[in-house]
Amino acid sequence: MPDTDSSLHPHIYRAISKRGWYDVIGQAVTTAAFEYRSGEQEISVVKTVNCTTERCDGRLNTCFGEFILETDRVRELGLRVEDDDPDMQAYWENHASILGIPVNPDTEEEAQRAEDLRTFLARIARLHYDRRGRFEQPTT
Amino acid sequence: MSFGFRSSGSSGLLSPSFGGLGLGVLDGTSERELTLPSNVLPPSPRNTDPEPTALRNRALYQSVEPEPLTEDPTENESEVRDLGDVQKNFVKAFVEAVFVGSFLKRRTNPSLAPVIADLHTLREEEAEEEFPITPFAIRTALNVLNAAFNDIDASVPMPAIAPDGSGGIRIEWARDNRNVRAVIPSRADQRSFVYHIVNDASKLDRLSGANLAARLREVIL
Repeated sequence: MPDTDSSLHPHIYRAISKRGWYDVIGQAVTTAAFEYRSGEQEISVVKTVNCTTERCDGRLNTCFGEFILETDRVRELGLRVEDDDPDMQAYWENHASILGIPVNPDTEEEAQRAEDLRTFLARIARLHYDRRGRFEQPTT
Repeated sequence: MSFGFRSSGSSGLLSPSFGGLGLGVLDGTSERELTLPSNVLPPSPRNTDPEPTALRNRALYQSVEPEPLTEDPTENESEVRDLGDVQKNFVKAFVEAVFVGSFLKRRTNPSLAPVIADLHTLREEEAEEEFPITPFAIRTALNVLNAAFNDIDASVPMPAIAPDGSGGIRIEWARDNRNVRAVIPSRADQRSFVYHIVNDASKLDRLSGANLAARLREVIL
């Protein structure tokens, strides 16, 4: 798959499909946002967002908004950011993937590496859009 | 036939009932010991939608809604045919009542109650997902949290609790560039651990209440 051009897309966006992906009290992204769902081998992102409550660029049924990450900073972690392969059936021009987090780690070292990478991704990710107002800091 | 947990009037208590009879005598304890005081399961501070949360929490302890009595004999026959499911649901509700009841009786750290409430809210939210939180994950999380919190005398900050997308649970604490988390998979044959990181230095430990408590003391508190 071709590398995502960071000069054209300096930011990538991760659609928020679970409320637990953002720590409302700590106002921080949680590492669960970068956990693979069963069967996944990459972290899905989009390159542009133009979201409304009626239209979701993440193409998710349930979406709480988006996190934003700098494309180059993701690469500095040793991860790859790649566009969809135009030849694949599910090609979508706006879609890209973060690759390189160990999948189904066999060893403790791999599991630790996967958790480290999720930690660093969560640290550089920021809340971009809170579609449903679910992530505002509690006043009490 | 009806059973489940019912609110006992204006006191706000939730108590198990089965056809109007108390359950407590069945395990040698009184019904009073199995009641759940309203103040041990407060609305989760993470949930910004208090009314649905309250409804969900209430629904959690009403495993099966009471059905109105009917004069229609065919409906009564259907009820008899469904007795197997009713019995299974009753056993499930009863085991949960005993488990949660005995679990809460052991609770000593007040920081634990809102965490448990959030855990149950999460389970409700994920119930209809492709990979709902598994009973193993919930049971493991409760055991580990209970052991860890009760091993800590201080107040423990509220963690972020999230599904792992495969039926497991991730429970995370963060403070500046320090993180602790319990990673609880959906099944017993998968890897579970306590992870912590301070700046860039991380380590995995076996998942246990003692290890989680030790890392929380060392890294977060």
